[in-house]
Amino acid sequence: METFNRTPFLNPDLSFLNYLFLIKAVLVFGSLVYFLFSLIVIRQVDLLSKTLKTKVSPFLLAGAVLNSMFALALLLFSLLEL
Amino acid sequence: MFEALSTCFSALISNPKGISFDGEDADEKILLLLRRHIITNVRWVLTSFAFAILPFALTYFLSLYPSTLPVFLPFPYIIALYFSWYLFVFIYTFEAYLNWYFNVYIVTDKRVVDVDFFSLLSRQVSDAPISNIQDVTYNVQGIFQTIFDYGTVTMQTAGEKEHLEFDLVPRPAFVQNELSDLATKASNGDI
Repeated sequence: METFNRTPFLNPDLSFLNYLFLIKAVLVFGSLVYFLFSLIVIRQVDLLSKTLKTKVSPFLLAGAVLNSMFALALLLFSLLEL
Repeated sequence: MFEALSTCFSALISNPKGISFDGEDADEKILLLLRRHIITNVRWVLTSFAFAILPFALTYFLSLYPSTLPVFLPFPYIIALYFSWYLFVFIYTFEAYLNWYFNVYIVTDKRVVDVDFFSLLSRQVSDAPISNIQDVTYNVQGIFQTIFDYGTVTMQTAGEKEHLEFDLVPRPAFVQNELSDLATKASNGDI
């Protein structure tokens, strides 16, 4: 027998809102926010290194850039693989 | 590279090489570079360590009591959750280290400089000429500061800024002695 929802707005089909979808949504949103934050961290390290120039500064900047790349990887993984 | 890495955790460097700061004069020589004593980082180091082992402890606990897990998570989700947790641990540790590493006190042959970073994009740089230093005292309080030989060095200065403080720096007696000598030389016109 055909089941047809005649009142989709009054009786929406929420079966897609399972826990995995919610976890994926949280991961995607969280990784997007974290990625944007990681770009600010790169800028922060750059500013810090301009104020105090040391031999360690390039390594710290590399660490910040690497962190940003991992954040982007997490974002893409969350979007594409989950 | 090894020389650079050896200064990663140094809280007191005399006549540092390869270091300069914004606003430094061409003929200015850095005599001392100070940071808070490395022992002041114990709290965030231990916290980072606890955060790092937390997933393993949780996994071990769940393996002992599998019925406590309310839902089943596919492997890609577990990977993503682990990865995001360790990114968080990394950024917490990294920010704490940056806060320690870049909050420095610099003594040159011309002035003392206090570089403070308050937040992600907020910083304050204070300085006072050596000739303005009128009095230098140091304060060591408590058992940890006594055991690890660190404390606060306070300089009374003439000028707009009445005093500068070097908080929780190592070997405060040595720092106080160096600053007093510099102030005496400056008042005698030797520098």
